[in-house]
Amino acid sequence: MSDIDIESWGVFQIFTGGGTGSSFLIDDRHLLTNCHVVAPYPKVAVEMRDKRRAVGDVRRINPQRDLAIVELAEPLEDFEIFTLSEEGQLRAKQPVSILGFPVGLPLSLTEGVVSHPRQLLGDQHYLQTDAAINPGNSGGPILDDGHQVVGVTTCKHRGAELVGFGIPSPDAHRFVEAFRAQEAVFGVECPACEVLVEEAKRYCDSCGSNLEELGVLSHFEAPDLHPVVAFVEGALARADIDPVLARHGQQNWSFHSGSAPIKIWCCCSEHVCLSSPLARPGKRALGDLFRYLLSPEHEPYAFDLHRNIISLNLTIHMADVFAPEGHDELGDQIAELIRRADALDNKLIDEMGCEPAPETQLTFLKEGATA
Amino acid sequence: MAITSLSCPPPVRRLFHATETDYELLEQAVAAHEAGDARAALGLSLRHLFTDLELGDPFEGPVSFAQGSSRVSLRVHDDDVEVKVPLVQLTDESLTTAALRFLLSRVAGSGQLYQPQLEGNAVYLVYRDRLQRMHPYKVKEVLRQMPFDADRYDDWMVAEFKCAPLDREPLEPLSDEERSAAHAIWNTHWQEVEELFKEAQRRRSIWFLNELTAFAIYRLRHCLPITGYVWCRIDDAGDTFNDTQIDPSQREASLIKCVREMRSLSDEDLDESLGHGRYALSPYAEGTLDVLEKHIGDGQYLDTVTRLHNGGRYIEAALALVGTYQYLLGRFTWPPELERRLLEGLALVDGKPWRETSSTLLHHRHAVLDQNDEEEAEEDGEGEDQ
Repeated sequence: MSDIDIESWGVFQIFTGGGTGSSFLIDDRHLLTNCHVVAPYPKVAVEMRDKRRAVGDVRRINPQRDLAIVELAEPLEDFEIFTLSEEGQLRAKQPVSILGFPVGLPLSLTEGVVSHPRQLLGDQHYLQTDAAINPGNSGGPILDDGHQVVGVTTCKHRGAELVGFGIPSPDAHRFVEAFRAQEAVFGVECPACEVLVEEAKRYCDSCGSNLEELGVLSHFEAPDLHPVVAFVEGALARADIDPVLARHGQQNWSFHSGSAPIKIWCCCSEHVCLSSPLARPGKRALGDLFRYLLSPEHEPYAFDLHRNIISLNLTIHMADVFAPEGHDELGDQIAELIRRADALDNKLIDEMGCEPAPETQLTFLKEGATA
Repeated sequence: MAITSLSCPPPVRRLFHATETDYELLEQAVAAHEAGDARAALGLSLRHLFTDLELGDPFEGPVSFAQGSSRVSLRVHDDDVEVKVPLVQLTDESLTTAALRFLLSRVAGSGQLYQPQLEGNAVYLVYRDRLQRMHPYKVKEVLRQMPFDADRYDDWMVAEFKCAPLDREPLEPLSDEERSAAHAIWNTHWQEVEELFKEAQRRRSIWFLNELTAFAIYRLRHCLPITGYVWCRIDDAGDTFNDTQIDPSQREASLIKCVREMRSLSDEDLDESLGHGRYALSPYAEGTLDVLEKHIGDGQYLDTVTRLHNGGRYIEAALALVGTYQYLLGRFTWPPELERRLLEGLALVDGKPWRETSSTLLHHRHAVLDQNDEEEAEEDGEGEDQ
C-alpha cells in the first residue's frame, strides 16, 4: 500500500454534538460508520478534504452491531469507494490497515495484522487486530491488502495496548444490503432479530422484543439538548449558521465565517467562550496594531494574542446562558462577532500588515475564487 | 555545614482574620436578580462580598475600594455598570510595544469577563455590562478576580516595561522594627532554602523537593507583606519550581536561580516591595475543615510524614510539617483561635532540631484539629439553642 494516496480514498470524518468519528463511502452518497458515532443525532456533519462540511442524514442504525448508514444530499465524486468483503475468510497474521481520524488528526493510516478473525466478546464476534486504534477511529474501515473492507473499526480494549476490534465485514455487508433493499427513510434494526423497525413502537412486530428495554425507541426521539447547547445553537441559527455543521463534540463548535475560523466552547463551568483566530502580527508598526487591538471601541469583544495569533473573543457568563430573557441580545452579539471576524481578518492583513493565521481560509478562498 | 533546624519567626505581615461570609445575602441577591430587581441584586451582592466594609451606595455615585496597590471603582450610570482598575501609564520611557504585547498575551484572554483596555496612554482593566445582566455571580467574579490580577500585574509592568504607576493605592510602609524583622526573615529564608536545596540534591527525593518548593513560597507568603516586582519574580519562578508536573531538573534549576537572584537583591530593592496593603476582599482563601483535615488530619499524607519520622528521617518530616503549617497560614484565613494555634505550633519549633520539630508538630496538630472540633461543636450548640 506504500504507493497510494490515501487522500483519494472515500474516508471522511463525522462530527456530532457528542464527538467525532470516521466513516467511509459504500456508494457515492452513503457512508457506513458506527452507531455510537452518530447516535442520538438524526443529522451529522461530514467534513470534506477542504474542511467544508455537509449535512448527513442518519438513515439506518443497528445498535446491537454498532453500525449506521449516513446519507449525503449530493454525491461525492472522485473518491475511491471500497467494497465490503462478503465472506469472512481472514486468518491470523494477515496484514490489515486502519483508516480514520484518530484524536482529531487528519486522515491517517495505521497497519497491523489480524490477531483473531472472529474473537467472541460477550455475545458478538469481532475482528481483533493489533493495528493502533484511537478515539476518532471508530467507524473507519479495516482494509486488507486488496483494498477490500474486512471490518468496521469499533473499539479498543481499554486495559491493553494493541488490542482493537472491528465489526466483521459479513455483518456490515448484510446491514448494507438490507438497507439497499428497503425504502424506509429511517429505521433501526431490532437488536434481537435484525428486522427493520420503521417507527417508534414498544414491541418488535417480528420477534416481540420490548424495544424500549432494548433502547431502540430513543433513536426515534430528538436528543435532549443541554441548556448551553440549546443557547449556543439557537444563537448560531439566528446568525444563519447551521448548528449541525458547526458541532465539534460535546459543547464544542467550530466553523468558518467566510475566511475566519470561529470556535465556541465552555472553558469552565462559568463561561462560554467564542474566539476567532484571525491573523499573526506582521513585523512593522506593531505598536499601532497593539493599540488598535486594546482600544475600547471593540467592546463587548476583545482581542488577545496567544502563541502570536491575534484572536477576537467574546466571553459569556453562564448566568446569562440560563437567563432566556437576554438571549436575543446575546444572540445579536454572537452574530455580530461572526460577521465582524470575517471582516477583521481582511482588515488586519490588508491594512495593518498582519499575516494570515494558519486556520484562516483566506488562501483557500482566494485560490478557489480564481480556479 | 549542614542545616540543623528551621527558623519560624512570627510574621511581619498583618494576618487576615476570617470573617463569616453571609451566604444568605448571596441567595437573596440571586433571588432579587431572578425577580428582575437588578438594583437590589447589586446591593445585596456587594453586602455579601464586603462583609467588613461600608462601600456606600453605588446608585448615589461611584464607589471604590482598595485591593493592595489597586484601586477598584464601580460606577452605575443609568442601566450600565462599569468596574475599572487602573493598571499603568505608558510614558516616553516605557517599552511600549513590549508592554502592549504583554497586555495582549498575558493579561487579555478568552474565558475572562474583564479585559485590559487602553485609554490614551493609560491602561485599565475594565468590565462593563448592563445592570440588568449583573448576576451576583458575575459581580462576585469580576470584583474578586479583576483587582487580584491588577495587583499582580501593575508592579510587574512598572518594573519590567518602565511604565509609570497609575492612580495606585499607597501601601503603608513598615515600621523600623518591622523592617528589621522582615529583612532578617528574608535573609534567613533564602539561606535556609539554599541549604535545603543541597539536601534535596543529596537525597534525590522528589518528595523532599516538593516539600521544599512549597516551603520556599509559602513561608514568604505567610511571614512577609511582600508585593510588587520582587513577588512577581518569585511567583513567576514558582510557576516552574513548584509545579510537580514539570521535570525535576528543570524545577531545581529554576529554584536555585531564584534563590541566587533573591539573595543578591539589595536592601533598598527589597524595601520597595515591602508594605502593608489594605484589602477590601481577602486575597487569601477561606480556611475550611476539609482543608485542615486534608493537610494535618489522619490520612495518606500524615501517614507518610509519620513513617518518615518513625524511620529516623527527621529532616524530611520536619520540613513537611513546618511547610504545611506555613502553607495553611500563607494560603488561607482562619478564625482567630485556630490561627493562634497554628502560629503557636510554629513558635514551639522555632530553631529546634529536626527530631524535636517533627515530634512536636506531629503532636501539636491534634491541638489544632481539636480546636477546630470545639469550634464546630460550639456552632452546633448555638444552632440547637436557637
